[in-house]
Amino acid sequence: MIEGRALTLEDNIDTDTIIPTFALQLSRDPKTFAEYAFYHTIPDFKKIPQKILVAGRNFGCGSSREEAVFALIHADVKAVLAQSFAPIFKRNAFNNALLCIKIDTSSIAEDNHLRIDPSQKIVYNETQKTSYNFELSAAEETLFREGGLLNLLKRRLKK
Amino acid sequence: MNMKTVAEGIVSQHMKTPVKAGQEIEELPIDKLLINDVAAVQLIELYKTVEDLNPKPFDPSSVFVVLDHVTPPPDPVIAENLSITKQFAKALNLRLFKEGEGIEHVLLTENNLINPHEILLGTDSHTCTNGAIGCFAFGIGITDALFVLCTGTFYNFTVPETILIKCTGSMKKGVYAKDLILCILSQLNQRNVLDKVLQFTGNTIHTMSLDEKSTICNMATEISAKTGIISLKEDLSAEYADHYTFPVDDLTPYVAVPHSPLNGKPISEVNTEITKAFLGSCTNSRLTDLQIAAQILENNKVNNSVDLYIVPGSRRIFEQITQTGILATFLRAGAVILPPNCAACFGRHMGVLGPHDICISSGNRNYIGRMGSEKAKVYLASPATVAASAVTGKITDPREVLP
Repeated sequence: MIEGRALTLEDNIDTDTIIPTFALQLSRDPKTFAEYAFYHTIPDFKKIPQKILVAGRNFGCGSSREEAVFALIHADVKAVLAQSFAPIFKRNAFNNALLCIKIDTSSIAEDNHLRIDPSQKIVYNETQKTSYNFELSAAEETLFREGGLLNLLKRRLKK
Repeated sequence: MNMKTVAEGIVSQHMKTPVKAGQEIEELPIDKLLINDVAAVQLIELYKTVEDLNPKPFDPSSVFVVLDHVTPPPDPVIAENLSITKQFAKALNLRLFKEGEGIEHVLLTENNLINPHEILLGTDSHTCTNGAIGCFAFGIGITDALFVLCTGTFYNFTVPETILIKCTGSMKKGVYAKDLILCILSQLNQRNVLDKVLQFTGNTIHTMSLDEKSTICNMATEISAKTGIISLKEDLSAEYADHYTFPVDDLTPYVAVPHSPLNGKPISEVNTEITKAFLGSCTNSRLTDLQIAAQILENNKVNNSVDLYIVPGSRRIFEQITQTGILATFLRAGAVILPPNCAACFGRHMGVLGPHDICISSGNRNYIGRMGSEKAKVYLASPATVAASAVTGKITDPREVLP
């Protein structure tokens, strides 16, 4: 079970907003990127505990930078809920076992207490006493369960 | 009977069996892989974690490593990253394009490194540019790239649906491929195009030069499409998710206003002074782009309140503008000429914007902070509009200054 507080965002959040270009090559340690997550738009993003991002349409558009996913994971983002996701971001997220869930997010409010059951594929809004069913592809389920594509690659190479 | 979109046709060829949109493929064989300097260092870190499993790398001559995003290095950290990348390319015998060779999506077609109906993946969202020659090409992150590098395949590929975008008629003088794609993106905004292929067709598209087709396909990623593709070997009666038609005869120059490439407007609705003009990027830095700008700068000077940066897309294009006198025209007009690289379009060096800058750019993105300061404003337009605006100091319809 994944638990957290809703941090609401608008449509078309681009990956430059998630992690600005200047931060991309500062370090070879992926944890560093958390310091720069939403650098220009949300002060102290990393310090907000147990976040579940709740966005509108086309979350993660723009650059293919996987550092956007590293930044979110290491800044205590537990999952991302959105009306829709940009394809490269979504791929990168599942490749790192970060859940991207497509549901109608329009009635989820800031700071709502959310609980996600990945096995039953249900999001519970504990604050509003509502719930949402969602779908994952077979590959997304596998990637989430196995902890990302790197683990699958390692297993394939060992064969 | 087996009518296929261009994407379905290419994937079917690779799978040696007919496929349809929606079908999942566990491992899709890939022909070519592109890695740039920004992605390389993290990719190399990941590679180290599988190295002891003796991955049998994918045909190294089909892996292109292009040092284009932040080159020449502006600081010692990036200089070190570039050295690490060069060593990696050498160790695996990958095809390295050194600093100054050019922008990845200009180099591949210029050097015939990719072919129609091949599948190219690249660690850059603008890999879709290469759809201009009928190559099925899209951007990926570094973990997917590592998988491709080690196996020659892309893990779990879903055959995408395709939207047919038909452009008909001929554009007037002063109106270019960039104006058309900015117009198309503004019209498709809010439509369901995510993860779908934009197959551009119609007489407008099929009579375009490769430079123009590259501009069109380049910006497919801005609307989160899977890719853009253009091919004469297309079947218009295949099953498309949607059809749109754009008559282009009355199209005017377009400008995407801050802070989204989807915010395209006819230039008559945009009226602002500028401090910077940027002519470069994988969208518009090719020879014909620079020729158009030279027409405007031939008998004009860059406005005193504007800095105009011109960044040829490759070393070969740089040579061509040198031989044809275009470089001299640019210098006489007062432009700043930079070596081939992504430059300020990537926002890391070479002309990045300060908080008070307002820039007209031939690039592809105008997100907050994209070209430097988060307070700067970026307007996207054609090379002609960039040159015309650099001359007048405000965003200007190029038809007012074109000879």
